[in-house]
Amino acid sequence: MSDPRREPLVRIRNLKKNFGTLEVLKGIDMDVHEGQIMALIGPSGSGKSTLLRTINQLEEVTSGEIWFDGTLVNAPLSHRAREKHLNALRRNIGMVFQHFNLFPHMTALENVTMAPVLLGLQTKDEAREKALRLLDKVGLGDRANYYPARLSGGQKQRVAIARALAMEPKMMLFDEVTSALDPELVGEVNRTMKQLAQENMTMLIVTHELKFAADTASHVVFMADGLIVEEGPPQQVLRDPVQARTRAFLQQDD
Amino acid sequence: MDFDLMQRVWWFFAEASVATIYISALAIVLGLCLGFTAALASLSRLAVVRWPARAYVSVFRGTPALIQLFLLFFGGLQLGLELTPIQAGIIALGINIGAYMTESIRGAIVAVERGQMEAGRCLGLSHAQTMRRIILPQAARLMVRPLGVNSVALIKGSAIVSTISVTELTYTAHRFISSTYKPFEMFILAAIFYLVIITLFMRLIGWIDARVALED
Ligand SMILES: Nc1ncnc2c1ncn2[C@@H]1O[C@H](COP(=O)(O)OP(=O)(O)OP(=O)(O)O)[C@@H](O)[C@H]1O
Ligand SMILES: [Mg+2]
Repeated sequence: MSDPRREPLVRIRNLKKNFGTLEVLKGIDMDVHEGQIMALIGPSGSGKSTLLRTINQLEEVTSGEIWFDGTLVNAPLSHRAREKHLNALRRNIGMVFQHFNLFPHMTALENVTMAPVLLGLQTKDEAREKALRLLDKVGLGDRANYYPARLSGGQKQRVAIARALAMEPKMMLFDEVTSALDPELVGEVNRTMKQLAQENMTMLIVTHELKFAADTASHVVFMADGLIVEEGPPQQVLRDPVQARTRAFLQQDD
Repeated sequence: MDFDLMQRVWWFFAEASVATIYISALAIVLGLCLGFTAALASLSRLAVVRWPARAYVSVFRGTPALIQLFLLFFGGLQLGLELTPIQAGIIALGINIGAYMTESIRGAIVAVERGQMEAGRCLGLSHAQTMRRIILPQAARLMVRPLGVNSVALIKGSAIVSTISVTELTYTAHRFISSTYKPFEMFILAAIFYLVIITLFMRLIGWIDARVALED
């Protein structure tokens, strides 16, 4: 799957992020290789979401470097040049949010087709056909014409995944995508993510579900207080952690 | 009450209602155009764009509409700007209500969940594309009611153009008072017509609001 000799898809170096005087990321170094399923775990407030959001620049960074597919994401550019650069970058990075953020005034199908058509990447017919295939794949072929308000949380989240996939991204970011769901709806979303993992999608997943991380991830990163404390294969980090901080977190979670 | 007199003159009030509706409708359209422009400007990243929009809102909400109307009509005449009373009335009312509409529209835009802009931008849409396709359609639903309230205020406020002799409802009442000396009856007639116009208008707003409501 991932070949460590190849250039990583995401390369983060000495990344720092402050919100005003609050230091949230204190120097992160991280590589995500193509095909890697990376789970990001850690206590609340440790900076997991912030780290994820700096990769597609929903948050600007304070210092450090983020490289995606060979280009410097946070290159110093004029406002206009930066906007163009980001629009191009973001087409290649899908993101799924905790609260779905589906467009409520569009049907499931329209949610999925809107961006590729508007950006001229697919014709209306192509986009429609592709969207129906994607909705089918996430188990919602029969819900294509439903508005989000008529879908359950789990269904909404699967539409959100299909919407991101319609852009044919090189990588997907997931920020606690099951934590707003009723427990009985978590499984259907997790299954969709596992299926994506099996198809070799590069995924960076912020999650508090350690069992899901253990089953699905190829690599686990444990963060605390804005730093990476420990990382490695799931069986090592989750079963046999080296750092006391990791052990404390895992025990507390049981 | 002199019902006989009221029966004889009511038709003139009906005609005057047309003028009130005409002036109000054009002023509302002008107000909406100004309101949209100023609302988008007031949300701009650039201070030079934001500042004039904010100034517009403060100035026109912070001074009496009557003074604004006099400034435009009489002040305009003095400076060589020759507007007919009807033109001056429509423009002054439109600019005035536009300031209130700016705030209604701005409020609706900022009330759309922040995650919607993020979701749009994450898909590679530009800020403008996200605004047009994602934010504004949702904001539109939220602004129908407040804009309706602004418009009702405008219809009632349009009475001030009677002071520059535009033959609308209030002016018509005054005119008949000077020939009949029956202010009570004449103002009652005018009030009834205002009430009918506004009731019908609120129905229209309710209908639009139901049409644009989210399906759920
Ligand atoms: N926009 C913001 N402005 C100011 N502070 C922020 C902002 N976003 C996050 N923070 C702060 O940064 C810190 C890290 O937040 P972050 O959301 O990245 O943590 P997290 O690890 O994702 O936590 P959780 O597990 O609760 O989601 C927190 O202290 C949070 O309050
Ligand atoms: Mg978080």
